Amino acid sequence: MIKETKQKNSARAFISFDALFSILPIVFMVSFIIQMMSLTVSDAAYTMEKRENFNFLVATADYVVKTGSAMQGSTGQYITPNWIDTDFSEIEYEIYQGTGWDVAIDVGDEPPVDDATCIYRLVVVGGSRPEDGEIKKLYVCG
Amino acid sequence: MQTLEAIISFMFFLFFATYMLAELDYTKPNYALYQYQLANDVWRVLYLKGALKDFSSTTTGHLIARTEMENIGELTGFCIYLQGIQTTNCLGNPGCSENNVEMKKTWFDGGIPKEMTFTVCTPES
Repeated sequence: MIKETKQKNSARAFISFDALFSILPIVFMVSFIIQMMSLTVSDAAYTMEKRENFNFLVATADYVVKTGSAMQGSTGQYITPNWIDTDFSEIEYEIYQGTGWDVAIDVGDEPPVDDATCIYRLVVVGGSRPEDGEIKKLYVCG
Repeated sequence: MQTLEAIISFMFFLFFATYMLAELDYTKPNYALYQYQLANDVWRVLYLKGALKDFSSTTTGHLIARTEMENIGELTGFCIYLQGIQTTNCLGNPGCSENNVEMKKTWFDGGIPKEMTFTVCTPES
């Protein structure tokens, strides 16, 4: 009777060990897949956010160059795209009010802020006529 | 046991589906529009600065245009070509990278509208 019980116990122990060694790799595998999935998803979300930011900057820069800061021609009737006024405080506020995005706009050789995504456009600044102006880079950062 | 296998298979499928969707192009920035805008800026700035006013077959007109093109080239690093390769700020450069923008532009030669090929590109390093 005692021998029989011992045999049953050792069989149960063997089954438990067998189950343990089978389950462990499965658990590792499942946790690995979950981690990889969360990593992939967060990476895609980050790239998506970057793309959205870049597209917004492209659209904003186009608006600034063609309408927002474009100067009026000599007749005063038509605006002249790419010939721009360098006071950007009003347009920055206008963009913030309209979209909620905080952008920094400036003309120069270097971007106005270091820790932001920046794009540039080519513009003519200064002068009473575009011919007298200077070719500069217009940076839009956000 | 079959349920467990099904769960694991489904998880693998989910993982690959997520990975494949994340790798699709829609998540990557698309620079094509921005490159076209920059190329148009170059044309527009050349026009505003009067570089195309006397641009015809005369050497002086080409020289004026080239001076402005060199200014833009210094600022941006771009190689600009007008009328094919007739006028450029990148004489003897090794060639363009893949990101070049080529378009047909209309300009006025003494009041007569004409068309020219205009190319802006990043030189190969």
